[in-house]
Amino acid sequence: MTAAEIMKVLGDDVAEAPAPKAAAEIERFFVFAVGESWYALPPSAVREIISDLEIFPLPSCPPYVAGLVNCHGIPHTAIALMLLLRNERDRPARFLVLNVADDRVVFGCTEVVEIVLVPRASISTFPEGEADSKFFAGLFALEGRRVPILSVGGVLRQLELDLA
Amino acid sequence: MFRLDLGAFDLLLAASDFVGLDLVPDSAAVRAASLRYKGSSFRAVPFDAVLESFFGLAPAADEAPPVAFFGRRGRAFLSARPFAIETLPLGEFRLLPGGLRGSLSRHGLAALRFGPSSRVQFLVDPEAMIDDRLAEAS
Repeated sequence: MTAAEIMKVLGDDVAEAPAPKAAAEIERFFVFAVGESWYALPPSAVREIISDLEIFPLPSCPPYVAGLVNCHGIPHTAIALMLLLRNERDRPARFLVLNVADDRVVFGCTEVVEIVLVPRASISTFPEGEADSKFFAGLFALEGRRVPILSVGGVLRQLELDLA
Repeated sequence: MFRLDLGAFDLLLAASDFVGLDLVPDSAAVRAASLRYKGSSFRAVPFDAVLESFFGLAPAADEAPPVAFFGRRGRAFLSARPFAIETLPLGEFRLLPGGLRGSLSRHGLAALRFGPSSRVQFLVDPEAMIDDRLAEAS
């Protein structure tokens, strides 16, 4: 069997868990730290949190692709948020395994903070075209900090552009 | 499978991508532009240099005679890296994650396997690696 034939035979049953639209006026967010900064994701975007995964570097990828990690035997792309968002290098202590259709992705982060309830009215958005709108879906305040809501789709679109 | 030991990880070549392999003990043959195998001529490809460039590897330390892997498209891939012939279950191979798959398969990375002691083993299509480099050069 050739390498090309093996690629065809291998299935990749990627689970998809679409983010449910919350009807309530309160939204829940999963807050995590990347270095000193806090970021948020909808809890439905995170499937699992894993510590201390070995990262296997990959060739021909943007610098913020730290490499591959082995999550229960399945290779996942490890995105180094510290490098992507803050242009700094670090060794992620935690990996957020994401629910993404047609892909397997983890975000490396420093630590998990908490799950918070945020009134929808207190979430601000970024004007379209603003640089921050590329990676962030919104912003709220928590304990005196600005907490950007990360857009998984925005990060993956950037990856797609950088790999093209 | 032909498994090449690249130090931090392994490279796997599907045996079916080749018509055969042979040691190249003669140093003159190593530098030749083409090699003959079973009556056919194959263009010599310094595969170690390709791998070192692609994966950012340091050159191999030892001076072992290279092995020529004779591909089905008329190329002989020369490598002096330690290699072994192994039978590996197809079910243990995994495709690359969706977002990277298209890009990396164009560069020749077809799939991978997490081997013993979490060692990663990349299955590559060597012809695609060379085609990609030729496309970049042109």
